[in-house]
Amino acid sequence: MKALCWQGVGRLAVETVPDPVLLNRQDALVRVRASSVCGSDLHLLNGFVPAMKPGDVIGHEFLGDVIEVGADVRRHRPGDRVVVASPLGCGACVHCAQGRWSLCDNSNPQPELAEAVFGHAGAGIFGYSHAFGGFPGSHAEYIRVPFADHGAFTVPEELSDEQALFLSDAAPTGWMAAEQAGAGPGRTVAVWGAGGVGQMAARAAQLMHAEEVVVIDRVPARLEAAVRNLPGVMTIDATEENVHERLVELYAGRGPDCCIEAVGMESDSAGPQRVYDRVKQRLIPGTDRAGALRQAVRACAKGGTVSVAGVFGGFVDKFPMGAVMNKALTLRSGQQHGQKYIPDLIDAVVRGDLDPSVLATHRMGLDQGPYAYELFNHRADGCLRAVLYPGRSEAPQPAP
Amino acid sequence: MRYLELIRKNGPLTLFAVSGVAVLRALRHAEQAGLKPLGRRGGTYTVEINRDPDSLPTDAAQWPAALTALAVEVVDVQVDPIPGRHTTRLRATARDGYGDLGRRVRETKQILETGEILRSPAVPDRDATAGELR
Repeated sequence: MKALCWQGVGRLAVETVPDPVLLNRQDALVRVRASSVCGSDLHLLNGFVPAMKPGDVIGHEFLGDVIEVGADVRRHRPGDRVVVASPLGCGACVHCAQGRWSLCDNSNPQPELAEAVFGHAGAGIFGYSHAFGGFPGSHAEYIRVPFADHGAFTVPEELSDEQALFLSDAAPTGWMAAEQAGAGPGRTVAVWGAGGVGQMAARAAQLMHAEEVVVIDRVPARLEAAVRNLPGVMTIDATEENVHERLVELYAGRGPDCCIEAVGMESDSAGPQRVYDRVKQRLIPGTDRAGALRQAVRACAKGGTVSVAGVFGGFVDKFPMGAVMNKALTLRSGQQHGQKYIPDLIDAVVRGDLDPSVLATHRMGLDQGPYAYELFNHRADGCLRAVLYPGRSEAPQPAP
Repeated sequence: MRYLELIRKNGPLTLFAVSGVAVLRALRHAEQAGLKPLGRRGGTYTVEINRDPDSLPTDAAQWPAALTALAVEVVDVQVDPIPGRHTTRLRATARDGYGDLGRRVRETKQILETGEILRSPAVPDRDATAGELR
């Protein structure tokens, strides 16, 4: 089959690789219908996540059709159209049993590196390096889905592929970020990052009846997309305004109660900080650029919550721990627990409360995968999410 | 030998030190599983099994081969109930610098919780056919 593979830092290519096969009794094989680029793929591509090997198939946000199931799969059969959570969860360990699926004890067969760096290993993740299990990703014609009864969810007929696709990762990541931030009535919410996850977090906060939601970014096209996709949301262009001063002004000197960081380890900054962060990250492996996180902690209201949805992989310097302690902030984070959220999110899309398909700005065949990432990496042409269609020579065009 | 009865009566239990029969069974089990001797790294590895101790096998021969093979390598294996959690602590200590302990303990936990050991495939051979990202 064809698959989009990591070749080295900054290099992707479509390769011919062996078709996946069932390796465990709880596996399903899925023919990929659609697979999206994701911001966290850029961390792999740009060399900030260790343990990638040339030939690794990337991609973790996808839906497809079940074509074969293992002997112990009970909830799916060939022909099911399924959306699959990006982290793998066994459904049996203490973490899965408590709904903390991305902390699964049993889904990362290669936990040694993660244990060495993080103290404990989290769940395996599709297409996300050998530190997260070495599972081939979804930018391919077919994919093996371990623990299919727990991670794959049948998509109702009334949902389009693109409405369901982002329930795999962006939507549950955003929802979990808003939930962990404590978004709700009477609470003000600020979201750093107007990409796919940031927009889903902002929409989640709206659906949780937050008092006000403001989205912050440095890319005007993304802020325009946020305004278009999220009626009622406010925006701050970080290249035009002092974010801290603007938030203080908006919220009567208090600052936002709930701060959601949806940027991660490659956050951009301005001035000397920008130069410092970029040089530091290149020279010292394992150091993350955390401009948005620092800003969120500083801006957060006293007693508020900072919820980190952006992916970090290593160490952060100049982290304002003094602000966390002296403002009595709560810090929440984690890879998304999709298995917990996806059923409710499917219902939200069916009801019309949520339409994640607004994130799909570009559509193309698998052969154009390197181009998709080039667009996405440079935020070119208003690219929020490029969707790859492995099974089609011509990708579908957006509805007029 | 009913090991978990001993747990309840005597607290922490060294599984494979209590019965010559159990060791023989473990040896046979390991031989059938084709397991190789452990490497040089040793130490202690502990996991929490999301099962009540009462639900676990009471006969050592019924435990996963990954664990019973540890007895061959003269490794202390302890199984304790975790108070208040209805789960079980499995702790294996290599006395003489044996390694690969973590993998075998993790595999034991996986089998007891999920029924099988999750496999990850090898990195595929490559045959580049398309362009690069610049």
